[in-house]
Amino acid sequence: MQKFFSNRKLIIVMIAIIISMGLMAYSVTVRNNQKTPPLVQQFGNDVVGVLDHVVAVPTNGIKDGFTSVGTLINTYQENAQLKTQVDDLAQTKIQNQTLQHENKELKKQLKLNKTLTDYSQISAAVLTRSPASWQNYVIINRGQINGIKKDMPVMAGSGLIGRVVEVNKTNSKVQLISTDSQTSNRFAAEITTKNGGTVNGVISGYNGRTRQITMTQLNSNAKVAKGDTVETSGLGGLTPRGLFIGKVNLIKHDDYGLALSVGIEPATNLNNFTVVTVINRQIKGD
Amino acid sequence: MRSKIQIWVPVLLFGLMLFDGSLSTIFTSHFYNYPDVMISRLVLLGLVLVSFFLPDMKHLLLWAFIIGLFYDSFYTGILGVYTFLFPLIVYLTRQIRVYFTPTAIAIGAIYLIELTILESFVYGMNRFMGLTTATLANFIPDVLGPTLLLNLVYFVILYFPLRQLLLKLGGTTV
Repeated sequence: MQKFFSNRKLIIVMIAIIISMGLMAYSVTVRNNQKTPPLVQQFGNDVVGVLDHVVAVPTNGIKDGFTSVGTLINTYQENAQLKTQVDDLAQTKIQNQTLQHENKELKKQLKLNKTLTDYSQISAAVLTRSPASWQNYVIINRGQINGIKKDMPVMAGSGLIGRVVEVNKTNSKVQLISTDSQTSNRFAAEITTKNGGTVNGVISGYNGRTRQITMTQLNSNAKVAKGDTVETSGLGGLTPRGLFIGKVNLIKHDDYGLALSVGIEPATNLNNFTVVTVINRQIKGD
Repeated sequence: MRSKIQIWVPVLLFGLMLFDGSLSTIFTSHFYNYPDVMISRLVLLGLVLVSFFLPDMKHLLLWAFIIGLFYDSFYTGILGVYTFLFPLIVYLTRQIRVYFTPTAIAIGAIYLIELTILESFVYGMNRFMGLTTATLANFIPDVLGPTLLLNLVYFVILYFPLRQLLLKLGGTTV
């Protein structure tokens, strides 16, 4: 026991703990306030990111290969199903195009240049996932030089999966919507009800047991029904309006009985995506 | 001979760190099968085995510190967690290695104990910073249990290959 707790060692341990606490406090402040980590840390992350290609590219390739073989088996069935959907889709697309055109014209007449629904997209591939599960981070291969900024929302497939929390020069970290961190930024969302109205609320967490996103602070007499669609409302920050989140699956009153709390079935499988789209809102917030 | 260790051991540890991330990406739906979460800790296996089989490796504490710093910066963005836990694990292993004959069973047991210490510290720090709301009653069955299981499998598969590799690097023939 003497070996463990000699005076000199105790002092070293104390100093290490103090430095560790200091570094942690510093990192948390940087994350909460500034847009990017300090240049040295960014450089380190970029170097690791580049080196990671040596490991990540082959392994991700293997994964994609296995997935392709796996999906090959039910391709025939899927094809038949999709064919029936395609006819529908063509009509919707044309309609969408016409509406978009009309919308543009009307906006021009109103002298509205950009609204909350305008955004551009930046495609990125998933480089690696943080094994430290407490963070729920995914690291993507696009950074500052590609125009990514902190707090941009990120989509995969048809649904929202999270937001950018840290940007380096050539890679950035995305915090998934499935986090239960108290300090992460939240999405403002709205539910479109059956009679055409909207109900506003906030995405406040993720229930691991039911695998549903939790949305709270909804007006308690709102007429929300199972199957209603949930999308971002574009209020606050850098999120545009109309990013699909999921469908309402469970409706209950929150712990205090004052507001509604809703469980949302995510539109995308939060554990299975290799390509993401970072959303850049055209109208500037704040 | 010594310079060979000095170069290849850090490369090995760094590679294991990157493989942690890649394995987590490939097996995302298995590792993060909520509520059960398995955390891949290949780099810890590397650190423990290096401290056991290459006792005369110089600056291992320093390398553990550097690897920890990169780990923090690249994977979590919160400096100061793994930065100090990795050297602590190395230090602990070096302290207790003299009391055990380096058999697979003894090293495996020590590895699991140190993994438990590491996970508990990491959980405690994240809880302290408010980065998770999971309670201790959630942490032990949902995270610690599956993590120990996964890393035990890693140990069983990788113990002999890694041991041979390290002994070869250290210049001892088996």
